[in-house]
Amino acid sequence: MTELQTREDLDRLEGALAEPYATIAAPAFRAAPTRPPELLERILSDPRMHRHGQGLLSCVQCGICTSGCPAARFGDYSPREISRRARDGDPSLLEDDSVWLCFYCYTCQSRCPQGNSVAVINQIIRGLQVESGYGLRHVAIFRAWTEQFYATGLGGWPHQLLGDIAEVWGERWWHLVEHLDELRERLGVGSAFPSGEALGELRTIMDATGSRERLQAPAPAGCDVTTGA
Amino acid sequence: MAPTTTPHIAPITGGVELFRSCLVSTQYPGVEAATRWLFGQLDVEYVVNPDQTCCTGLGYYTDVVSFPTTVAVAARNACVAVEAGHPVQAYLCSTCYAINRKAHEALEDPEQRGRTNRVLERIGRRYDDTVAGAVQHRHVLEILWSRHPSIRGLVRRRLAGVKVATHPACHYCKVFPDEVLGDSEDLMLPEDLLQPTGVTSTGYYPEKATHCGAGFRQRFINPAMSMALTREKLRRLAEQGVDVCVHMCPNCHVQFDRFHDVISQTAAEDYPFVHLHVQQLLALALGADPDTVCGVEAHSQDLEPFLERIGARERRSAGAAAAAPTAAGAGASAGVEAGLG
Repeated sequence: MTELQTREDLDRLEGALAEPYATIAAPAFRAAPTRPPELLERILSDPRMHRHGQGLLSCVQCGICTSGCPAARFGDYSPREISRRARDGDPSLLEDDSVWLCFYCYTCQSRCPQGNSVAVINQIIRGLQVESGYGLRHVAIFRAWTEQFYATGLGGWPHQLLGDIAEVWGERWWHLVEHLDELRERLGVGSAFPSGEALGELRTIMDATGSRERLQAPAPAGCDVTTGA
Repeated sequence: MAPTTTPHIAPITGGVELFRSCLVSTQYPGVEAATRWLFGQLDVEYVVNPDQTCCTGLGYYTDVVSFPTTVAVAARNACVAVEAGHPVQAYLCSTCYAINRKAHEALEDPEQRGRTNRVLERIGRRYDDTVAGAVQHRHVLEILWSRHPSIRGLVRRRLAGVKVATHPACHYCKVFPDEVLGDSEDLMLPEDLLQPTGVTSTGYYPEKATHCGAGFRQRFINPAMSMALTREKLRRLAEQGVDVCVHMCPNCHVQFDRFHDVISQTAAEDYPFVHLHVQQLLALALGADPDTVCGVEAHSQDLEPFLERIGARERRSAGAAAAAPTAAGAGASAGVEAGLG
């Protein structure tokens, strides 16, 4: 705090105090952030947040989420920041790339003393980004998963990813991929695929919930689908 | 013998549906075969239902599948399980476990249930209070734990001297921590299940609860971040001098088994231990065949020295033949060191 040194300072202070309080404080009120409440309401009304809504609203920014977070440890990401911005309904989250660094390990959620879940908030934000088209760059490489699931009823990884993985995991693994059916037969575990009837029902569910249309909007031009940058 | 700390539970009955997992099915089918074999040994009545579909987990957690799709798929699978009279869904994969529990929770909300039922109407199904009340969500290890008093009498290969650490799966421990059998930060369920086989367990170790590094998209999109985490965990396990790290989730198992040697060579660090699923190691101890029950050929690591050590393989080398470590003390023999080092 600045010390009052001169008669002039005291005069200025007296002059200021003569003003009504509201006049003096007005700049502070003007500077207060005004956030549209839509994003916070959207997050709180999501069924995934029912158990964590009060936790988000009562987040005290203690940082236990960040202290245990593997993405904060090895990447440029802070769940504590995500929590603050979500509580503020900060719309910049809808074009934030750091939410894509979360591992979905839920360490933040399981340790949060208030019951908040940044892992779930990230799922909601990423979903909104995908649906707006902004986030499609981040999921481009996984889009094939949906088509594969629709075709076979089995998840796993998209076949498009397997070539790159094989280079790292080597021939032994590729041999498994090529001879999986024989191994499954030796183990007596039957087919890995669901019945035809189940697959038909699955496709109806996927159609009814728009799971393929969701990924149809083109990714923004110039994005790098490999790095997500 | 150290006392177990995992809470005792009554045998889980009422019809178990062994819920097939996409990663177990395509990466380590021996985990499913070993589980079926153990269910047989422990008299767990169960079915595998061909009308069950994949849970959507990998699609949901790579953000291509929406939550409403995931919930509808989970609701359908619950209807199918209840209809077949085997409503206890037993999960091989911790993400299947978490996804289905989360969907169950969401379906308690009347609005969400209404929306989901409008979808299910098109396939002539309905998720109602009867289904919600009957379906149960259990990790396979919980089913096995509910029969654990029977294990001791079934041990055929003692694992004396084998030091075991647990890698607790995040999606079992951290999504519903209050539902965990034991301490979500220091899960002992896998080690306690193996205790009758004579293993030594690490109990808690630094970073026991740390994530494996897979992170769904991160393994593929941000490999540097993903590998840094996996390496950290491997170093911590090596510090403990373990022989086996046991897993309860195929995604963790992929991350550790497939990258173990890659990271070891790249980082020029030795991690002298192997990765197995809890069910595989337990089945081996109860006398199961490593090939036709545990499917060890699907693993990236060379498991042969370990299998020799526990007597699940004919000894091939003179060095390994010098020791019978199943009867010896904790990793004391030269044969053990030769075999595992």
